[in-house]
Amino acid sequence: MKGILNDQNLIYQQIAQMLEDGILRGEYPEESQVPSTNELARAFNINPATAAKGINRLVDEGLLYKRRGIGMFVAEGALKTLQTRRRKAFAGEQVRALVREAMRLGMSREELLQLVGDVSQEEGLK
Amino acid sequence: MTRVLRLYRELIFYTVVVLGGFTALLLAGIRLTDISLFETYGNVMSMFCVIFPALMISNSWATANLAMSFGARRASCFWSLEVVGLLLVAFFVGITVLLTNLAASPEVAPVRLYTIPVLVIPSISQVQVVLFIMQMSKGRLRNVIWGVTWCAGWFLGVGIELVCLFDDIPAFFSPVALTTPFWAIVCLVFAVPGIVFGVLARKGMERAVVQL
Amino acid sequence: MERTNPADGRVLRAEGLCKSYGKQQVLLDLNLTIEPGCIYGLIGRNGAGKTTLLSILTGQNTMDAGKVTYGGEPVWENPRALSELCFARELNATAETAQISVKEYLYAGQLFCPHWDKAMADSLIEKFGIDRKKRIAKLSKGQMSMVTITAALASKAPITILDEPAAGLDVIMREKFYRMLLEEYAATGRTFLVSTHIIEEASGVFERVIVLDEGHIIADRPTEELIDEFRYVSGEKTALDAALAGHGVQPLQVQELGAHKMAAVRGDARLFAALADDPALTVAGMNLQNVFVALCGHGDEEG
Repeated sequence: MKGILNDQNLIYQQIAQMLEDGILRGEYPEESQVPSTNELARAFNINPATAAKGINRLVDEGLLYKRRGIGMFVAEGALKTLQTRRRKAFAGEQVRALVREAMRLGMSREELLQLVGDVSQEEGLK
Repeated sequence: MTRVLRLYRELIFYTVVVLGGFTALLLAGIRLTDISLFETYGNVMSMFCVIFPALMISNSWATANLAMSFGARRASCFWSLEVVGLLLVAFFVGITVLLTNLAASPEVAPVRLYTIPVLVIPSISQVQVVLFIMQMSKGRLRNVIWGVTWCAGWFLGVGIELVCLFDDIPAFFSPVALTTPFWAIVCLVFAVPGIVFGVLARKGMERAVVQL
Repeated sequence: MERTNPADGRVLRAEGLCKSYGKQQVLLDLNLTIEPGCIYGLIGRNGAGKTTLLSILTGQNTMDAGKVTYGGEPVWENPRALSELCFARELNATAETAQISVKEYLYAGQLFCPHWDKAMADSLIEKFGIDRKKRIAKLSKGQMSMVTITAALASKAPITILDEPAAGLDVIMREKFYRMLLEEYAATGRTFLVSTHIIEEASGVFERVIVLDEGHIIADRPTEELIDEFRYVSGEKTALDAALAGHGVQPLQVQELGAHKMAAVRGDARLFAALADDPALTVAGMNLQNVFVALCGHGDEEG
């Protein structure tokens, strides 16, 4: 399973990202249990300390909490918190990258906005 | 040290069983049959017994390294090798005595108690020399020195036999042997390198590098 | 899950180690601390002195200067320290001990490792499909590695050191080995120090990485922290040079391809954020192997 991890980003960040994506997609609803440090370590053949770092980042951000003796659970309000945080990052990273790529392709602002509108329509974004 | 000795249990067991058995076979052949082959082998065997302990100790060096690689102390390994060496010397001298005395060959005089040092001392000394040589790093230099020592040993052995042959000196295993000043000096001559190399080997062992 | 660590917090420490073979200085004023309960990776080029360092740490080789202590006591000829350290050395057919059988090898482990788990050793040898009666010299390189791994894991030593354990193993066996190592670590919390030059595969396994280069330890950090200090920055030649000069940064490695230039850069988050903001540049992460090459590949660049 290790092949899923890329070697451009730190492993613990990728694990955190994976769990966040899972929460956003609804795979881990609030108050549900997420994989434990040991399960993650075993799945990806990595050091448990690294897996723990990924989980701890989400704990620090208030997205996960620990139920003693049972495991890690998605915190109440995690979805909202995550969406807010990711929106900020969305602007700085993905949108910026999109705009830069458009510039490289010689598109104008109007063309880009048109394109975004068209694709949004196709994807069903309301 | 007992733990290191346990690594040598197979070596000692097979030596005793195989060579002891072979000796028993030779003795049976000498006493019960008229086939001179047994006697020849008996004579040869009793001569070689002096060098067997050193040979086997050289083969045992790998085991000592193995023990050290798992954390055995150098001192334990060294003294274990000395103990095994002594046991082997005792065993092989015993075989020599048995073969010489029970072979009842008219050419060879029986071994008496005071002849034993003449057999034991060179044998132990050889073991000490081997312990010293084996501490060198495995490689060309060690092989060369080993080869030179072998040859020197052979020349010495053959030389002594020739001296016995051409002079009027009693043969090596003759009971008169040790009472003559000549053989007493021979004993001491063999003892000196034994002590020197023994000490050098012990000193060298203190800084030995484990090689696997 | 109960994790037992018999080391009880004892630290293996090397201070001021110096070692030379003849005129060649292999280790120079080397300091290293191995804390309990961690998996360390020791990486370095062939001939950098990894095996020498490991053999000195375990009291199996002499040093010209410096000291090695375990729990404050010197390691040299010290049964208390030696019984807690296990050095699983690389076996090869020309070794002094190559005529010894696998059975004898494992028996020696059983005799001298007080925590030896015979059941584990037996089951591992069976799982690896190795004939115990065979002499080490008659095994394939991969099988020799498997024997070493068996001894290392079955020793149950508080600090276990493995020298190139994956040498000779195919990629599937290597993955299996990392899994075994991690499982054992998860179950017992033992300290492992693994030297390897198959770096990228193993990087996820190491909590901390130690980089040995030319007799010195040039890095001793949590793996991801070290990796995070490096980036590949690429872009048009003049733009890249200007940007790097503007930040006062000297690249570790550069590669030119026409008008395009790529550089391996070491810095902090602030620097990388600033560089990423520059539209003319692309900033990408490196993996441990890339970092290692950037740190230790000096003098070997092409063109």
